[in-house]
Amino acid sequence: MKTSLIKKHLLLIFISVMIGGCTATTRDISPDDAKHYDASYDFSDKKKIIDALVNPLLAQSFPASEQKPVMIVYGVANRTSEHIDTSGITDEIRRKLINSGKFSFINETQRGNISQEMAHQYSDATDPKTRVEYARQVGAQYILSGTLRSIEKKQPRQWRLTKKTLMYYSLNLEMTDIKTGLIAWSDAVELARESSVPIIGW
Amino acid sequence: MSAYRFTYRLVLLAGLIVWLTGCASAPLREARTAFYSHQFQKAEVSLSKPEEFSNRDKLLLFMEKGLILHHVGKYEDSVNEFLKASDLIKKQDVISVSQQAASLVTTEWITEYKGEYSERLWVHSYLMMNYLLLNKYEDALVDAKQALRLMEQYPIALSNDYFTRALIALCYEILGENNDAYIEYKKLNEAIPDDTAIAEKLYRLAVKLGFHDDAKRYKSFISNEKQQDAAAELILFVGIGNAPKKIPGNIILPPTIRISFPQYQHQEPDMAEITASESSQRLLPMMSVRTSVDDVCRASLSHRASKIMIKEAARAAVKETLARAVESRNHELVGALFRAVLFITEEPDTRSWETLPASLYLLRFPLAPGTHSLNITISRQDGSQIENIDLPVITLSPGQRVFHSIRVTD
Repeated sequence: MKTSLIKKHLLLIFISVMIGGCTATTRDISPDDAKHYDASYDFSDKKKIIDALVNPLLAQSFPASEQKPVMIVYGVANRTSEHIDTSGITDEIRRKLINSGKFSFINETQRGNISQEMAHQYSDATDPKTRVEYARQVGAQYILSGTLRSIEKKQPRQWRLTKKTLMYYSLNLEMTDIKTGLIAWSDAVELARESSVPIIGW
Repeated sequence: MSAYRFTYRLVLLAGLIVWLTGCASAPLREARTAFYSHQFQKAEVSLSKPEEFSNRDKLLLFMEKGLILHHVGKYEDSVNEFLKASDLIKKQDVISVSQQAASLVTTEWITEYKGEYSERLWVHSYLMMNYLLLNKYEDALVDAKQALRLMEQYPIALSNDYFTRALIALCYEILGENNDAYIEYKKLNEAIPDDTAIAEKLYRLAVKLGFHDDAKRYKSFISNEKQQDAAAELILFVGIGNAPKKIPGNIILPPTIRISFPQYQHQEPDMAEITASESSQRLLPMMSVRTSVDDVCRASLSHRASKIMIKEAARAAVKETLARAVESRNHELVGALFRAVLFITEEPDTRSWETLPASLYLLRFPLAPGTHSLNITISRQDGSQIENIDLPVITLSPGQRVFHSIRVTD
């Protein structure tokens, strides 16, 4: 009788654990909170990198000019060992710099569409009075570019229950003066993280 | 437990194991048969329902599907499959206690297939090829770095994969990382038996990097006509033949202990001659590198052999203990039946990536800028032609590289 009761309790616990473990859950988290599942690059790193690079750039004074510096983004080269979409970094940096009111940006990705639209406006379909004038686009003064690099180090083979990984990331961002070819500004941000995963699982 | 119930459960267990080693991979078998019968759409359809595959064979699904999609030119789709394979391999780093325990009393087929070291490497090789064919050079370099990490992790097993090493170097070179490219070409030059195969590339990079002593050394290996820098280039990836298959090997210890292990079936080396020509003029390749998939597969398996044999010995010990326990508590006939079931179910894990070629070639042909109509001929060593392919007309600008992938099956 006692054994049967224990068996029933164990079965109940087992079923509860199974149901609890298998239930799908979702919850909102703040993008400002750092959250890492492993040592690899994630959205918290992106935020940290952007904050660390945008503020010094905003504090930088550029050669006296009547107008705001006009920039064009040539992207951040991914030289890490992970597939990282670095356009997310440059898009966010560009957005912050535009919103600061201190920089203007050429929309390089829309050049093809702009040419197409201009061609359409100068076809017979458009009222000539409403046409946008040719040769009024602004030329860029600076190229914004960079390189994201990483170094990964895994714990050497030895008797252990967890495997540790060291990850180091560095993003170098620079502004190149198109007229002189000189680097007008450059800065870098570094991140390093250690993660540990169990070697044995269920 | 009654002898009847025990026998019934025994038959069930035997049935389950037979099913595991056979029917579970039916769509994979269908896809492989269709692939080698040149019914590529059928092969693709056979693997279109991932939910039909148990986790045990998921890696094989991604690898086979990725390769089939690469072969039919669906490079983006192929990338997606190989990325799934790459992610799964990383997740499989954790040793599953439940799977290992279950496999100790049954068979290795019950565990998730993790791929040989060579197969894990070729996931990245195919990703590199796909990205290069899609002109996504940065992504190709990401996989080059992951492949490099594997080559450093298993140097003995993977040292003869000259094709992947040449691909890694190429990825560095394309992105102007000449120093890294030079290091990889040097490693390749040290590993490859032919001193002249990489000499031209090493000479050019040594000149670029200002390594004058090295440049002088490599210059002596190349002819004067090859010392002009090529303005554009055709890069060919060629897979020839069929991958080696794993077959069971057995050691019988009388009366009823069977230790089984996987081994690769012997196959003759698949050597071929690949020539490119334009208007019947034969083009000289700047680089020609071949990997024998068969050799690298064998090296990978033998590198793992000690682990396999330790596990097999442990399984034999556990099974023998179980058999003795059953014999002591049951009728003699039940004990004999139990031993028979253990003997039959001792099946080695012969799963492998079967749509791989027997050889992988990387050839680089320098071309002048302009329009080219090229013909590729693949012949056997005895001179008999295997394949004659007219490439689509290409127009090259100075410095441009075009990539093309060819696969020829037996």
